[in-house]
Amino acid sequence: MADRFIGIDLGTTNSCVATVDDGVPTVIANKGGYKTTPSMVAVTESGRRLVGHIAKRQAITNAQNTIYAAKRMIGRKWSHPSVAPAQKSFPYRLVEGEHGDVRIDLRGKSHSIPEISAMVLSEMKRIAEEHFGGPVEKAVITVPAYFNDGQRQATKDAGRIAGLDVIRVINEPTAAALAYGFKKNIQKRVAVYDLGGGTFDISVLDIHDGVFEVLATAGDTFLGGEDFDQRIVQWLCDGFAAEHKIDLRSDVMALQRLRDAAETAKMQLSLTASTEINLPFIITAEGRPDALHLQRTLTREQLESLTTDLIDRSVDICDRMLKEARLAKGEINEVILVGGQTRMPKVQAAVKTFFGLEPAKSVHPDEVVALGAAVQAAALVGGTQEEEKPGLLLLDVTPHHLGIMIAGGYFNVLIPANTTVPTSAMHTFTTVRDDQTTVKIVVLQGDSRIAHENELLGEFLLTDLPAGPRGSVEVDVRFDISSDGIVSVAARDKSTGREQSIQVTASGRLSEDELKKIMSSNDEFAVAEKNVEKFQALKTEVERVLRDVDRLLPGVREFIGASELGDDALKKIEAVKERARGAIAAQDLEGLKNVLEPLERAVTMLKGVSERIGKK
Amino acid sequence: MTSSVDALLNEAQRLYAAGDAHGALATWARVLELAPGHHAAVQYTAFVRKVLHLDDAAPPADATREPSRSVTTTTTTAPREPSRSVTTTTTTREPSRSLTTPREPSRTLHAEARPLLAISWAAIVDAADDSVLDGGATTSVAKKVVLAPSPEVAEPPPAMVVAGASAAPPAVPADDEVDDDIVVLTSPEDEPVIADAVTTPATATPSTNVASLTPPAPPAPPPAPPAAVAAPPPSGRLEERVVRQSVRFDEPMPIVGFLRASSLPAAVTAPPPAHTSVPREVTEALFPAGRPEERVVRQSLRFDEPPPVDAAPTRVRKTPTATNLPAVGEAGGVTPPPAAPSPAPPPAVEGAVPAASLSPWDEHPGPAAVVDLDAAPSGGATLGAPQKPSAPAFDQARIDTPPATLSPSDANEALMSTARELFDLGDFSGSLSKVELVLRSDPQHEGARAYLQRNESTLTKMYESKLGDMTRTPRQLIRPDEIVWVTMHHRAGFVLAQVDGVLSFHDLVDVAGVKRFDAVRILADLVTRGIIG
Repeated sequence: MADRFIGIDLGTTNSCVATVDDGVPTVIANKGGYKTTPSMVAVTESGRRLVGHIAKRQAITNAQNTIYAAKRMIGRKWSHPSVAPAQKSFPYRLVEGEHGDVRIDLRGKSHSIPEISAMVLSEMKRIAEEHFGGPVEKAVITVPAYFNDGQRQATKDAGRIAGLDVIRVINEPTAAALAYGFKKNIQKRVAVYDLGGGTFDISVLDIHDGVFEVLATAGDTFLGGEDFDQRIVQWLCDGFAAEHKIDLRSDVMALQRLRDAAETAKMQLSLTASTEINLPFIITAEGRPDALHLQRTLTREQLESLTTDLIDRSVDICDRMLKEARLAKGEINEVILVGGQTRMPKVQAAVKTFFGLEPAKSVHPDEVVALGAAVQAAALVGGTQEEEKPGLLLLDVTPHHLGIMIAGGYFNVLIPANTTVPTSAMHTFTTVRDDQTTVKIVVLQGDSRIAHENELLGEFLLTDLPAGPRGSVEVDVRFDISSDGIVSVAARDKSTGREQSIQVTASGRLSEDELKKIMSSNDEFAVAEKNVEKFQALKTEVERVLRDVDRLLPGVREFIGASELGDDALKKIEAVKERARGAIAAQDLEGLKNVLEPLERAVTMLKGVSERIGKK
Repeated sequence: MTSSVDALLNEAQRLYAAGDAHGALATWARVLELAPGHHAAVQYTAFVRKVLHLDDAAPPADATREPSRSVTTTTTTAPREPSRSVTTTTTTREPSRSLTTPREPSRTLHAEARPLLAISWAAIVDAADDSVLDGGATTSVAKKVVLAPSPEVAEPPPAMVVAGASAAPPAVPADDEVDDDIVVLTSPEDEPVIADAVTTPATATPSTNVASLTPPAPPAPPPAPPAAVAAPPPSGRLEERVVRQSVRFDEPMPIVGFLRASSLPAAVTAPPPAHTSVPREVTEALFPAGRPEERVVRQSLRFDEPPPVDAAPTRVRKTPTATNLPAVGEAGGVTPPPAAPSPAPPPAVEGAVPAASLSPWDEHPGPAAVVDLDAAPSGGATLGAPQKPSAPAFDQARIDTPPATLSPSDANEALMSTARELFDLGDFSGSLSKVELVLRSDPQHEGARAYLQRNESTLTKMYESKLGDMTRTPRQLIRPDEIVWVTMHHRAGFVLAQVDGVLSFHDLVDVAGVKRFDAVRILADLVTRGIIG
């Protein structure tokens, strides 16, 4: 049997898992029947870990202990400019890790971001394993096209912690195009308009002869469906405040329900012209007798007027991206919509107006990325059937310029942005001082000409250079980017052939030991969780039997308690009851297992006696 | 002479309570032999004979056919009922038609059926195993009655059980064995409604705010039971009543709006006592002050006798055990204030039978001594407001407000002492409320924090046991368009909104957004009120 494989769309807001069954890419639904799972993790007061929908249900009421949008922070260093604003906007606490990475404090325990993402990936793995009825390891995970090397590495680490063998990390628009072009001989230039829950991305790809090449990508990491929901919440709150002089935002329970209702209403308005928002007992006002109800009707027209500026923002980004990539709208042959928010008719209309094309409707916007990842996994792993091997060649591009720092503090680009990977580039540098025997290679990624304004990917020294006047010693610096987007840099002294190299890893990345420790800890947690489940099930059973014993015992005692034999039997039953209650109190799984059988025997005996004496 | 008459009267009462109506009749006959015209014996004899249809259904000509099976009374000893001389099995069987009455459609069981239920049950038990039943008084009498066992009467009628019949075989039926006729829609516990209804019939007497939908309405109301009898014979009549009450809560209302039989009558327009059993903070949050509320309470009550028509001398005693004290979730808040007048003050009586402990919740002793409501100076009594607490009685006033002259620390110690006492008595919610008062003034009070934890832990377990299997997935039982007619705090509304048929009780506790203690309390309330299940 071929290896089982899955494709995972690890989204900022929602995640989705798919596979290829009998040559057909298929999304795997979770236990609740949903095909997407919120990328949320929470830890409850009792220490229980919640992932997915159940975590989302308490995201506002337990905000400090519910992690969402961890993807925004994955692979980021604490010093990154995006971290400080995130600290203010997230209700949960960000702390600096020992490697200068970003970590999250969850009920007093510090978790790395890959660890949090791993919890979501574990949930997706579990969903897939329920589908297959057995273990799954091979996976392709998607990331935004603009993710840098550190972020991709961190995503791979997350997969590893989750017990997955991440065989490839691919760009989301690439995955979308893969699903769109699956089994089609397409020769097109397509735009992928991805308006998800929390982020917006626009990418342009060339598909020709089975080759998918990302030409350009841009986006806004703080624009998504949640902003649309927020507008509805705001509208509801304003209306309620006008009517009752109460701000619903002041109550987390009300706010949680508003957010849920807003999302539901928004989705319904993609299908109908108006929808009823009905939230009974939304708030209890001081001095009022009963809880107040919220009941309002929202029309599609109202929603569109509330969110026009958000849609316009996405269109502006498309326009800017095309201009920067020097692409004309007329060169785009097809537009693929990705992300649940693109189901909104007004969004579709805006895309159509901007590109002058009717967006493709053949792919499901929520599922297309995961399906594409599954297609890629099938190509890499393959199945027993030939059709599971699409034989696709993926050509991703580098999202940013790659280079090294040179004298004067400038950034020298070796590989420009949007270069198709895999790729390599080499450049020769010379020393800048007389008798300089050491050079420091500082590897950077970014778009600024000033070195320190770019992101540091790594640095190393090339030593023992021959002494000589400045400019006389030459050093070749070579960059290699693999198809996974992993960057390797080597520096070679041309005169001696001495060479130093590094594989660029994010400086904030978890060490191997840490990874192993986390994985071991996760295994223990999984075992403990299973034991808790077993205990709960057994406890329920034992309590049921105990109730039977308690119900039957008084009547039986009345009739047989006086006899020596009966008294002895009753004492034994009482002793078993005590043991059972002790095991429940001590949460002793083994103890519960041991008392269940004696308890059942006691019930059988008591029932027998009860029947003899005419009791039920 | 008097003592022997009294002893016989008691014996007759005990026999009747045990279901041996014929034995009771015979005993009353002996009383009448000793004291001809004894009022109580005459009244009771007439009443029971009427109940058993001994007078109007037995053809005199057939009376001799089965003389050995009947308990006869002479016409001379019952001058007021000269024609009621003979009873036969024919007549005693006749009322058993009520046993075959479908239980579900009709919640009312004829009064006549109850004695037969008991007799039949006793006969069945007797037939089951003579070696086990050692022929106690009740049993031996029951043996004389030969009635066909019926599966429907295989368990003792609850009314008989709770009437305090010591010889009556057992026991409180388990949850799933409770007679289908007993509608316990509003009871927070398993049995107390039955107990209250039986042991405090006067409390169920229709009053200004208690309206009986299905009044017993016997064709000819029998004479009132004699004053000297402690507990009237259990006729087992079931009554379903709807009580509409207007309640204004100036204080926060407890989360669970139960009304129990014992707390129904009397004034309900006054604020609840300060010792409301639900923690004030929670109730304030859940039910803010000043809420006028009209509530409909559906109750089923068993009366041991037809309701007195003209305030017949009836022994009434309110026994504020843990059962009828406001426990967590009960409508402690609707307990009438001391000043509220009793609508139908019964005359003073003696020798009342205390309510039996019917639930594990009642295992602890009551926090107050037995109080004779009838002993109120005005001749009336206010239910829920103990009139004459006896020596070891629990000083309710002391709980409510520590003396104003105490320093804060002394006041806290007084409250803590009360909290400990209440905890020991099993009133965990009462204890919790005191502890919370202490913590309000001294958040670091170690003893209070410890008791807070213990109370909440105990109450949490109680609520969880009420919910049952926590892995069970509840569903909303009320249609969405009807839910707005239910009274609910928005926190409960939030929890209700999470009930989607997917999340289990366990999950709901996690997403409730409140402490586990509050979450299980809200869920237990929603279940009890039939909103989810």
